[in-house]
Amino acid sequence: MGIHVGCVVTYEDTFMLLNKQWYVGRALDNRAGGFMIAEVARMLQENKVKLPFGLYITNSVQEEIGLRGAQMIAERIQPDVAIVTDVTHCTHTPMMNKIEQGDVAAGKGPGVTYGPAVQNNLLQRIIDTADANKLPLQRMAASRFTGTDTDAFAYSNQGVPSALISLPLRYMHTTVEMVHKQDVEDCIRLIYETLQNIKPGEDFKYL
Amino acid sequence: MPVRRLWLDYVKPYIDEHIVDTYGTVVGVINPEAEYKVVIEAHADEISWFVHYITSDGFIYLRRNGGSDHQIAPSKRVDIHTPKGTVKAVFGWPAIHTRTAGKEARPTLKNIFLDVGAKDKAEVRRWASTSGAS
Repeated sequence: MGIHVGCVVTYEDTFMLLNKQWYVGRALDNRAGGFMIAEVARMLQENKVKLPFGLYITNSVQEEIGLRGAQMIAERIQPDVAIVTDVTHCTHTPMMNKIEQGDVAAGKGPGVTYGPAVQNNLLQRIIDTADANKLPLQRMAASRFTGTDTDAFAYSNQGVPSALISLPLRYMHTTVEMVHKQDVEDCIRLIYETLQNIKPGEDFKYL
Repeated sequence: MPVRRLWLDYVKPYIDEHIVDTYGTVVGVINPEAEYKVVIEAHADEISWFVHYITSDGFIYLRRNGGSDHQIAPSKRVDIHTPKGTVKAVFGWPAIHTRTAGKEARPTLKNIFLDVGAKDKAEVRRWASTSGAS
C-alpha cells in the first residue's frame, strides 16, 4: 500500500452549501481566507483599480504549527503594512461560552481584533473604511497573541504595522467548518476598500 | 491538485508576477517595482495527521500536524498521502454494543487509530521503500 511513517493523513470531506447561505467543509480555516485575498486581486483588476504601491497577495504555509510560513515570507517581502485574514470562533452555537470566548456571530460581519500585535492606527483605518462603506463589523480582544499570522508579520522586520480581519467560523478544526456567505463577501469588500485608503509612504506611527 | 497550485492558477490573471518560497508559501505580486509594499495574507495550510506507528497487525497510530481534533476522529474516512498516491483509510472505533455504559473510553491521541484494510504491517508498508526503514 506504500504507507510509511511520516505520511500525511487528511479527511476526505469536501465542500457543500447549506441552506443556500453557509459554506461548509473541512479546512475553511483558512481556505476561505485564501479565496478572499484572491477575490480582492480579481476585483482590483476587473474594476481597473491602479494601486499606488506594491501589493503582495500572500498564501502562507505552516500557520497551524506556529505561524512559521508567515515568519519566513515576512522577512523576504519586508512589507510596510500587513493586513492578515483568518477565521475566528463564532460563539453563538451550543456549548460556547461568551464570557471566555467573547461575543462573535457568524453572519454578522467581519471581526477586527484589538491586541498588542495589532497596530491601532492601521486598525482604525480599517474601521473607518467599514463605516464609510456601511460594512458590518464585530470587535474582539486578544490578551497577548492573536494566534494568527498577524503576530508573525507584526513582530518581523523591527515591527510591521499589522492588523487582522477575521471571518467568523463555526466548529473550527472539524470536517464541518461553517462560514456565512455574506461574511465572506463583506471581508472581501473590507480588504478591497481598505487597500484603496492606504497611501504609499504612510508609516502609521503613533507619535 | 495541491491547494497552492490551484490558488496560484486562480490568481495568475490578476497579478504581475509571483514568488514561491523554499517551504511552499506562494505570493502574487501587483506592481513589483514599487518601493512601498502592502501585504494581504491568509494561510494555505490545513491541519492534518502524520502516520506515526504501524502495529504488527496493520493498524496505524498518528501524530498531530497542527491542532487536529481527536474527539471528532472516530468513524471518519481519510486519505493517506503516499509517494505513490492516495490510499483510503478509516478511523475505526469499538461498537457501542461492546462498550460498558458509564465507563466508555473517550477518543484521545492514545486510542484513535486508522484501519487501511491490511492484514498486517507488511501489507501496509508494501512498496513503501526498498531500504527496509519503518
